[in-house]
Amino acid sequence: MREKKEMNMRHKMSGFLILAIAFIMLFPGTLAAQSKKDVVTLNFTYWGGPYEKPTIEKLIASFEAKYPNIKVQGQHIPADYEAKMSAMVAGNKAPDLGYVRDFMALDFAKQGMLYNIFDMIDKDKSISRDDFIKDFFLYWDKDKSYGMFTAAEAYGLFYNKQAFKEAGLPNLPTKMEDALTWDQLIEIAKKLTIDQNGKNATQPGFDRTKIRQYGIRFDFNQGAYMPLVRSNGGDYVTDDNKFGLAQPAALKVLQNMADLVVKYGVAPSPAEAKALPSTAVSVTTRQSAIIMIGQWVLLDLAQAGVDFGVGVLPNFGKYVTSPGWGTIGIFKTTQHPEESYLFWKWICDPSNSIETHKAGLWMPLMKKYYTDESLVKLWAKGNKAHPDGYVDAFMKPVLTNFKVHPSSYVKNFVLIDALVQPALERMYMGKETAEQAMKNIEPEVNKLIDGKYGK
Amino acid sequence: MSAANPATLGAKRRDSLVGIVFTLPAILGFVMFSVGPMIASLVLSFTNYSISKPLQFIGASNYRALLTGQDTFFFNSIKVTLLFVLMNVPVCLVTAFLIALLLNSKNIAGRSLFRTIFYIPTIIPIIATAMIFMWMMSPDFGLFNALLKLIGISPSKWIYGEKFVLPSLLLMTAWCSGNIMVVFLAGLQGIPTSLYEAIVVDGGGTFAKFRHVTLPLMTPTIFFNMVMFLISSMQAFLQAYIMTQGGPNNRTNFIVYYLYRNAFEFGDIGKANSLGWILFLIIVAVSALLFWSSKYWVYYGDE
Repeated sequence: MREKKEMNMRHKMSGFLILAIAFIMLFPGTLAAQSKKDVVTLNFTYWGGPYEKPTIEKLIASFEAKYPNIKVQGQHIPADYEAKMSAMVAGNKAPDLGYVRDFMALDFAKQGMLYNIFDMIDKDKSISRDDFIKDFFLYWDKDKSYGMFTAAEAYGLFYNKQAFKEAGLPNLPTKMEDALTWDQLIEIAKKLTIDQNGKNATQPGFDRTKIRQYGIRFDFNQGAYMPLVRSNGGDYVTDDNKFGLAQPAALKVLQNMADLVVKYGVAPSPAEAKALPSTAVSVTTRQSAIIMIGQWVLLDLAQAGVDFGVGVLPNFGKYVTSPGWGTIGIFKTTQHPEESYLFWKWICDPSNSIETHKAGLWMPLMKKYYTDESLVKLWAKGNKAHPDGYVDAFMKPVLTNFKVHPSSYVKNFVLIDALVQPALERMYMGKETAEQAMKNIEPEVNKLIDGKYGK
Repeated sequence: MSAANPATLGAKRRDSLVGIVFTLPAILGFVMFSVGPMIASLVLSFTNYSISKPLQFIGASNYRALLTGQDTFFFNSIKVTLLFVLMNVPVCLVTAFLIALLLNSKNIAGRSLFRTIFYIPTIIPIIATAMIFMWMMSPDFGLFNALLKLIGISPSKWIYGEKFVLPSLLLMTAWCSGNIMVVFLAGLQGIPTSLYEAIVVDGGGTFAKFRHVTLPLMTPTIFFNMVMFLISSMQAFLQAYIMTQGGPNNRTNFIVYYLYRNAFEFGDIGKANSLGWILFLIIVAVSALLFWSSKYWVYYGDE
């Protein structure tokens, strides 16, 4: 009996042991399987300077806190973003969603590699397309948009107030209807261009080879010249598929800009500009009195603590301002489109990153932040990055006088711009007039013109 | 002792097997990282491969577009690359050779110190060198223009001016040619002193020593340096990528930089691959020419 009992015990013991072993072996497996099912990981790539990076990191942290089942792997790519993105996409390692340059994203979207954001917004009951400013969507086809800019970043003028005071000049106009004409701008820029002997460009004996402070500075890419070309009724590629920059409306603006550099010497040429510090810094150090650029410089100007003012761009007819060209897209290769969309929405909602808006880097994508006074106060007023006049000079034009840059709608933009950019360099070197520069490349450009996206 | 002895044969076979096993890592590396990608690149050069579009074979269209001038930038990129090579190779070789001669001379105090100083630029990462040269070449407040002003010469635009950009890059490359200098120095030290003594006995001076001993005995080293430096100059990329972005007015749109732009800026990877192959063929042709010419001017002792 006793023996039998012992046998029983032993059987029971070994049975228990087997169970235990099985449990130990299987349990972590089941646990892991469970957690894999529940937590979704998104890969998100982005660029940005030393301020934008922590902004995105904060956005990710707050998003993960709200949605504990979604992890976002943020990958910051500070330089050579397009090359890296190309390599990732070619190697089937595209992120779930990420920053993409507009011209690249439009090409991706046309080839069916990005989601139509409208399909996702329309399914979402919590927001609608009308919550956003319509012009911020980037269309690759009629009613098909892959998304929006990372943030709006309108173009305008920024200037060093001390430089204006010393030259005895009044502040720049901040209302669109008061915008400077080109001739007025030339006069102001002359008075603000000062050589090393302290003489300005209107005085006799002014030495334009030894300049201490340039009157105005602008970039040589589409950013600066296109709002002015659009304001004069021109375009990069016309609606009837001609090379827009070679048409009279654009040529006038380009020649005017070239004159600032070549004829009057009140703006730095590309060679001279390369030797200057970054655009925002050059206003701080008074190497340029006015800069014509996008509103992201507010951040740097405010942090440098310089006394600066803002103004509207010069006007050639109908006032136009334009955004930057960084956008966000959701890749079709993602395994988690819904979660990706949730994160996209999180980034696009200014309430999640109001600090970054207040600091001057971004402008909100949602309409109510422009129209609802209590929301406007949260970012566009009463802080050092948004001086008096900002609302008139930057915020209002975005609602009413806003046109995106050609890289956001011209097909083959990169290829065409590879011809345009050296031609502009020749123009700013004074080797060719605007007309010669553009007419010379026109036959080559014509071969590349393939219309516009979204038409 | 006939070779048919089975024991020796087995030993021989074993020897070669061991040899192959030992060289296997190198062979595998060469096949995987050189031959494989080369074949892939050759195949891709006949396609329209781009990241966003489906891949199609398009025959020799890429080559045709490049060689018939349909591509606006190609001939210019060949031209500026060759110009750069034609300036770079002679100037850098002569400079490095002269410095090596000086550093080899016994009459210089602190020889090893100078040798170190002239070699240091080669150790500095090229990116750091490029950044520093960009500052020094700044037209408005760069060191070089300040020096020019000091001696009363009107300032230059350096890398920002169309005419000066290639010579300016040459200046930087010459500064970094310490590795060529070291090879020359090694070659100079390999020349037996007995030959110089023979010249002295025959009543020859310094020039005769140089003309009849140094130069002929150095030709193999000069040849080696010339081939290596020619190839690396043809593949110039970093200067354009970091300092000039191919500008001003495409004056530094070197072939490899243009290849990079095609692949990553224009998204035309097929064309980028065909550019790579065209450059490869040019380099093969030029090297072959050099090797052919070598029998007329390179002196190997046993001939």
